[in-house]
This record gives sequence, structure tokens and C-alpha cells, in this order.
Amino acid sequence: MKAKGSIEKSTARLAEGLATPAWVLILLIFALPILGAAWLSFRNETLGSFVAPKFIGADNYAAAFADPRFWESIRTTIWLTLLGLLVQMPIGIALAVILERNLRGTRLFRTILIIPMLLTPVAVGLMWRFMFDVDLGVINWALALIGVDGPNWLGARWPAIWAVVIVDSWQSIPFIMLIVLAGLAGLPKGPQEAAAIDGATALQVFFFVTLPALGPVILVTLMIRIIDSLKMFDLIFIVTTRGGPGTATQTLGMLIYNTGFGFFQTSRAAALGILMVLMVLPVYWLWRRAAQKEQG
Amino acid sequence: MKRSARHSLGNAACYIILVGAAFMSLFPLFWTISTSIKTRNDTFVLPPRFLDFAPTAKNYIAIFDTRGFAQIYLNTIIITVASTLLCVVVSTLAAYSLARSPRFRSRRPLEVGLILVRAIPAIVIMVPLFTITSKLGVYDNHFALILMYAAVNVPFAVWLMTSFIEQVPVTLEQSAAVDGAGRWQILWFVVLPLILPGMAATTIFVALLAWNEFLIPVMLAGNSAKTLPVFISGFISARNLDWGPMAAASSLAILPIAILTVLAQRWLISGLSSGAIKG
Amino acid sequence: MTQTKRLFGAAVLATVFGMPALAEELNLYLIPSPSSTAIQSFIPAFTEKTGITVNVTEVPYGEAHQKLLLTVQQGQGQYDVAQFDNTFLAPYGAAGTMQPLDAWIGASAEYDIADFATGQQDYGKYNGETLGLTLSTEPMIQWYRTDIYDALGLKPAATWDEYMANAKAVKEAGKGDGAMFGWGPNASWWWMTLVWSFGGNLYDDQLNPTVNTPEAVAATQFFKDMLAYGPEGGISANGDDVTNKFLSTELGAMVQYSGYWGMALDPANSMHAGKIGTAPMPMGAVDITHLAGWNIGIPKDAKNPEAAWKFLEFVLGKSNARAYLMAGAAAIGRNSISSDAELLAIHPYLPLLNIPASSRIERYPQIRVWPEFEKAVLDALPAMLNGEVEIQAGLDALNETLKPILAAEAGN
Repeated sequence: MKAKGSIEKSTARLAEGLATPAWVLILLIFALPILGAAWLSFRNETLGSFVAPKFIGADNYAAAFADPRFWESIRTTIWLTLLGLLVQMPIGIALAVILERNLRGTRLFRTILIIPMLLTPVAVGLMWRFMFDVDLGVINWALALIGVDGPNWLGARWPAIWAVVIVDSWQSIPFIMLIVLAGLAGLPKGPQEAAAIDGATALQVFFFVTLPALGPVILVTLMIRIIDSLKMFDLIFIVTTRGGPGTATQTLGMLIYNTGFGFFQTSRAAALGILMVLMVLPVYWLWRRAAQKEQG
Repeated sequence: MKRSARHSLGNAACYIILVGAAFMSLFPLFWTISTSIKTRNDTFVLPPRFLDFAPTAKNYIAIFDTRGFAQIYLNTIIITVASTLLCVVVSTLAAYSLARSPRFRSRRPLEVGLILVRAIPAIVIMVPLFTITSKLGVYDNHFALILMYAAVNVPFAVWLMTSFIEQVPVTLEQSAAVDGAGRWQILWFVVLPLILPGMAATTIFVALLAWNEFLIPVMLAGNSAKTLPVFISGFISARNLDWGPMAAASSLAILPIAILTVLAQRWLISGLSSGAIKG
Repeated sequence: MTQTKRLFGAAVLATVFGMPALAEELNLYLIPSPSSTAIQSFIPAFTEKTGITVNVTEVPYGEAHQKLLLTVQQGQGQYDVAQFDNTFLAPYGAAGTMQPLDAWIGASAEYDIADFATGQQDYGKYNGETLGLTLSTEPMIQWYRTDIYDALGLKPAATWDEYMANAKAVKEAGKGDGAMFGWGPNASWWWMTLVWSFGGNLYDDQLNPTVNTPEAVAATQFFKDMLAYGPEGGISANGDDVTNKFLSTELGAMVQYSGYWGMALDPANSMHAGKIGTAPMPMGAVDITHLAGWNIGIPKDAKNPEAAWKFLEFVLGKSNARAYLMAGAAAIGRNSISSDAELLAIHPYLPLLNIPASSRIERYPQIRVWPEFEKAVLDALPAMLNGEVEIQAGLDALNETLKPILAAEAGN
């Protein structure tokens, strides 16, 4: 008992040491750029120095809050994130559970199901864009075969949003599936077997024993997906060509890209980027709270 | 009797879902590969020509003829392997700290740092990074790229590994300590085997992220450290989209990462004996 | 002994330092494209002629211009020659990225600027200075299917009314879709062309937006009405989609940049090779030609501007003009080659590239806030095109949105 305090201290010292390489790496690469981005956000710089750069305080932030495009992009981002999660999480977890059963041929299926992650996002975007094409694309052609009149995927707001959700889900489900699968593999089988012996059905075992035990893994997956959804832009860039039609799929990530690289307004983009980080912080904090509850 | 019938019904349902998901996964890949061996005429046509077309090797020849393609391929492999190793090792160590020690001194700053790095959009960072790399003279430098790739993926890897380590009950480590094991023995013989599936998964993802990384090499590398994603997006130009060669390059780009994934799968399903935890 | 050694050493030193400067080096910054491939094909001949080594860096189109802006800002002289899209001439000009070429052009008989039609000599000019040579001449022209038109007894349209009538005829005869614009993410290209052609303007001399004038409304209405004669996917078609559909489906005509011709040549790449005709774009109230294309120039911080000019003169000069086009580049509108039989076989529209003096040339609006301006237009058009918003009301709202954007341009 008396050793506990010093165990904690020695653990803390060990932890300090173990964490140092990570610290060094991210400080080395990111400290200056992040500070630079913050500094940028308080100035009026542009990519080509069109105007003499000077300090303008919080003007960029004020301009962002006053800009309807900013709020619209947040709405769009929330929709895309929510819809995405609703599609990806259940399917990903379901696939992981099925694969964990280790039926015959699991290895082959596992390899095949990972494929969507492997392709370069640019190629994925272009292929899907072509498949969504109303005149020449294979999706509406296949739908027509079964008598369904496919929507004008890239030509209207909600079909375009669903198109992005579909492509994003297609690329992300393997990620969720693998992480949950790895989590399942690391779970002790004891509690599950005990519950089964006690008479619980497979479904009950899953929902009351397995799923809670997977808590940390599912939570981290959720959080990573949320953050990535917020930042997402390269897929949208290609599939709907920069967030079209109009601003239907212009997420905050897309708006930032358009502002910085499209309009050359690097300072405005930096301000938007900082705002995005501030928006992510509560998500992160919620995750930490939930993860700690799981542990305790 | 009843149990096995339900069992096989469950199995059948599983297979149906798996086959459906496999089809969805494979189709776009199949489409990419078939586009890479088609002429443009066979690509932009309805009804789609799934198999009834005359294949051509033109697109692949065009790729291999490109000056420097081998170098680009090699660059991507080297940078991906090196940065992934660095990232996963460094991140696993830090993850252990975060998972096991709630009170070490640099914990809070580390957590803040990780979220900052992960959440900030890449283009916002790109402009200062460009200026810094130019001024330091490390533009178009392999080592600089490796460090940047590793750093960019540290938050992701740390979070993943933290959750995998948290899944391992502390009691295991504590009982090993009681049995007289030293710190490093615990880490190596108790913790590591249990987090191997997690490490495998994390390695796959980090390698994937590094392999497909685009913004960093396009802005901060020139010719000598050019990577595949930059090469592939070169086929999209104003008033010209070279579908065939682009599909060919993309198909070639999947190979190494697919091989890595197949290899790493062995550790995904570890033979975790259910007897490890008694309590 | 020491005397000899010293003399020997001195001789060596004299030889080393007396040698002409080590072979010069040129760094090219190119964007992957047929033009870039053609330029690179000239490098061996150039190096042989001048002894100057040439290195090439290719950067994808989506990031190339932004990266060059950043690079030149560093002032390290990374590149001596840079290719860019004419859309970026104004930002480059405003940022001072490229250096003026007028002195060299004026003194070069080899380049012979007079070989270009008068209006086109200003193609690379910003604020009166030429910041880029013409690397390709790509006006919007009319493309049509000769077989469909012949079958229906149609002729390429001379006015927009005829264009719509032709489209109607093709569609009603069941020969396919009538005609097409790109109503999707690149709609601005066609929309602004129509606005100009109908006699409107995007903004006036004081940089006030003028997109809600009666002419602009009429142009937008026409743009919308043509939707009925295009394919279903036209509403989301970008520039590439338009060409793909024209080359692969049954479509009577399209108005499109001549630069896409490269895609139309090869029978393996175009279903209708040999059945595509070209004609000048239909005329509206005003005779305008919307000209786009590549430029190429010398960055401000180039280490070797003289050698850079030598290279540009070599590749783009009059004597190599024919060879340059034969190397697969997008066509350049030089008078001296527009009647070359061999070139005409590959680029039948070559004569169209010598834009008559009667036609007002409109490039992309030469304002550095053009990307933001364009995005505002692109954000506003879909609602007007699908009928959600009345055109006059939509354009009025757009006009208001454009005011602060243009104000930023004027304020500097």
C-alpha cells in the first residue's frame, strides 16, 4: 500500500519518458506552422501579397461570423457528418462482428472488404463521379434495370449530399470495420462465454457484453470519423467539383480550401481553420469524458 | 437440432451480407482496372461495357514510358515505410503513457497538441510550412517528408493505440508485477502481445494515410521526392482528363499497399487465449 | 622546384577561373498537358544548340498556380520559365509574379509578334505589360456533328436563335440531344460568354457589378432555355463532361473551347472521329470571342532570364511554330501556319484561331478577385437554372453579393 504512491510516481516518470519522442516529433514539425497559422489569422495576408500585409486583429473572425457562407457550410458539414455516421457505424460494426465469427472464407472477405480504403482518394472520387453520371454512369443504368428512376445525383442538393455520403461511407466503412475487428480480437472471451452459459442469446450477449466492452474502440472511431468529416474536402472536391451544385456540399473543410487556395485569401482561411479547431475541441473533450467513464 | 438450424440460418445471413459488401467493395476497383485497359470509346458508353471490349495495354505503356516513374514509385514506398515505422513506434509509446498514467506532467499539453495537429486543416498549415521548408532549404527533401508524414499521423495513431491499450485490463500488468516482473518485461511480454492486433490495424491505416498523402508532397516536394498521388493527379489538367493512364496509375498504386495489408492481416486475429483473464 | 610548382598551380587556377561559366541551367515549371509534353520534346534540340541544360518540374493543375505564387514570394529563383493558365494572369500580375517580356518581344524577329492577329497580341497583357507569351489559343467555338446536320439539312448556326433552332430540330428528329453547354461546376465559362455576346458586361469601368442588366437577364434566360435541348446530366456537367458527352453520345452541337480538340482526334478516343465540324461561335447582339488558353512567362526572381527567353524564343518562335503544333501541343493562332495543309488535317479549326479584328476578344475577367467572383456566380446559378428563383431576382441578389467582392479589387 505504501508503495502505491511511489509506483504512481515512477509510472508518471516512465510515462513522461515514453511520451517524449511523440512530443519532439510533433513540436518539431508543427509548432511553428500552427503558431504561424494563428498569427496569419490576425492579418490580411493573401497568397500573392496583393495587399501590403498588416495586422488587422479579429477582423477575419468577425468577417467569418458575418458571412452566410460560413454558417451554411457548418449546416452542410453537420448534415454530412450525421448522415455519414448513421450509415457507416452500424454497417462497419456489423461487418466486424460477422468477420469475427471466422466463418469459412473470412480471410478472403476481409481482404476484399479492405479494398475501398486502398485506392487513392483522387481516383476514387473520379470513378464515383463517373458512376453517378446521369447520362453515362453505371449507377442509374443499374437502377433503371430494376425499374427505379435514379435521381440526378450531382445536379440537385440532396442527391448530391447523398452521393457524397455514399462515397465517403464506401471509403470509411473498411476503417471502422478493421478497428472494431481489432478491438474484438483483443477482447477477453471469458465474459462472453460466461453470459452464454448463463443462458443469454447471441443478440443479448452482443448488446450487453460485447458492445460495452468495445466502448473505448467505438468511441475513438466515432471521434476520428467526426473530425475527419469536419475536415473532409478532397473527396467532395472531386465528386461534386468543389462543393457543388452551388454550395450544396460545401462543408467547412471545402470552404477553407476554396478560401485559401481558391480565392488566395490565406489569412481568412487560417481564421476559419482556427475556428474549426475550436469546434473540434468539445468533441474531443466529450470523447475523453466518455472514455474515462468507461475505464472507471 | 433447433440450435444448429438457427446457427446455419445466421450463417447464411452473414454470407449474404458479406457477399453484398464484397461486391460493393470490389466493383469500383474492377471499374478502375477495366478503365485502365480500355480505350476512351469503351469507357464513355452506355450500356456500360463490363467485359465486352478489346483490352489495350496503351495506358500502362504510357505510364511506364513516363520519365521518372520508377523513381516516383520507389520514393512513395520508401517514404511510406520509413514514416509508418517511425509513427507507429513513437505513437505506441506515447499511447501507453496516456492510457496508463493519468497524471504525468506533460499529459495535458500533449493531449492539446495532438488535437491541434489533427484538427487543423492541412491547407491552413501548408503556407507557413512552405515558407519554413523553403527558408530552411529542406524543400524536396526525402528526410523532411518522412518526418512530416510521421508527425501528421501521430495523433491518429496515438488515439487508436490508446484505446487498444485501454482495453487491456491493468490487473494483468499488476499481477505480473506482483509475480516479480520488471517494467520492461511487463511491456514486452504482457502488454505487447495483447495489443498486437491493434498495432497491426494501426500500422495498416498509417501506412495507407502515408501512401495516399497528397497535399504535403505536392506543395513541399518537387521532382526528386515526388510521390504517386501527385503523379496520379497530374492526369487531371485543364481541358484534359486522361482517364486511361490515370486509371492505370491508380491500379498500379494499389499493389504495394494491398500486399502490406494482406501480410499484416495475420496479426489482426491474434490467438488470444480466453484463459488469460480469470477475473 | 617551388617556382615550377607555383607556376603550375597558377596555370591550373587560370584555366579553371578563365573557363567560360559552367554550362547554364534552366528550370522549367510546367503543368501536365499536351502543351507541356510538346515543350519538353524540344529540350534535346535546345540543349544541343545552346549547351544549356534544362530541368523540368511538373505540378498538377489544381495546385500549380498557388504553389508558384508561394515560390516566387520566397524569391529564391527556383524557376526560370513558368507555364500558367490565362485565368491566373490577373492574380499573377497583381502579385508581381512574372516579369514583363515586352522588351524581348519587341526586339525579336524570330518571335515575330506581328504574326499574331492584332487583338491576340495582348493576350498575355496585364496593365499594359506582357507577362506571358501565348502558349495556346483556345477560343470558344461551335462544334457540331456533320453527319447529323447533313442528314437534317442543317448548317452551323450564325446566331443564337439559329443555335436553338438547330438544337430543337435535332432533338425533335430523334437524332439525340440537340446541343449543350456546361450548366454545372464550370457554368461560369458559358454564362459569361453569353452575357458578353448578348451585349452585357460583368462589371463596368468603375468596377461596379452589372450582372442584372436586361442583356444579362436575356443571356441567362437563353442559358436556361437551352437546358431543354441538352442531356439530363447537363445540369451538373463540368467542362470535361461536356466534351465527353459530345464525343461519346448522340449530341448535335456544343459550344466549347477549341483546346479540347486533342480529345477528339483519335478514333480510339472519340466515337465520332471524322464526323465533327467546327465553326465560329454563334453571334449575339455583339460580336465577341471568348479566348482562353495557356500562357508561359518568366518569373520575377528567375536566375537566368536571358537563357529563359532564349528557350521561349526557340520553342515558340515563328520557325518552330509548325513543329511545335506537330508535337501534339494545343494549337496557337499564328497567321503564318493557319493554312498549312498538314496542320489543318490535325487541327481543322486552325483558321478560326485568327480572330478577325471585328470581334471583340474577351479573356477571363482580368481582376484578381475573379475566383471569388466566379464562385459567387456559380453559387447563384443553380437556383436560377432549376427554376427555384426567378432570373431577374436571382441576378439582382447576385449583383448585391458581387459588390463587396469587387470593392476589394477596387480598393487596391
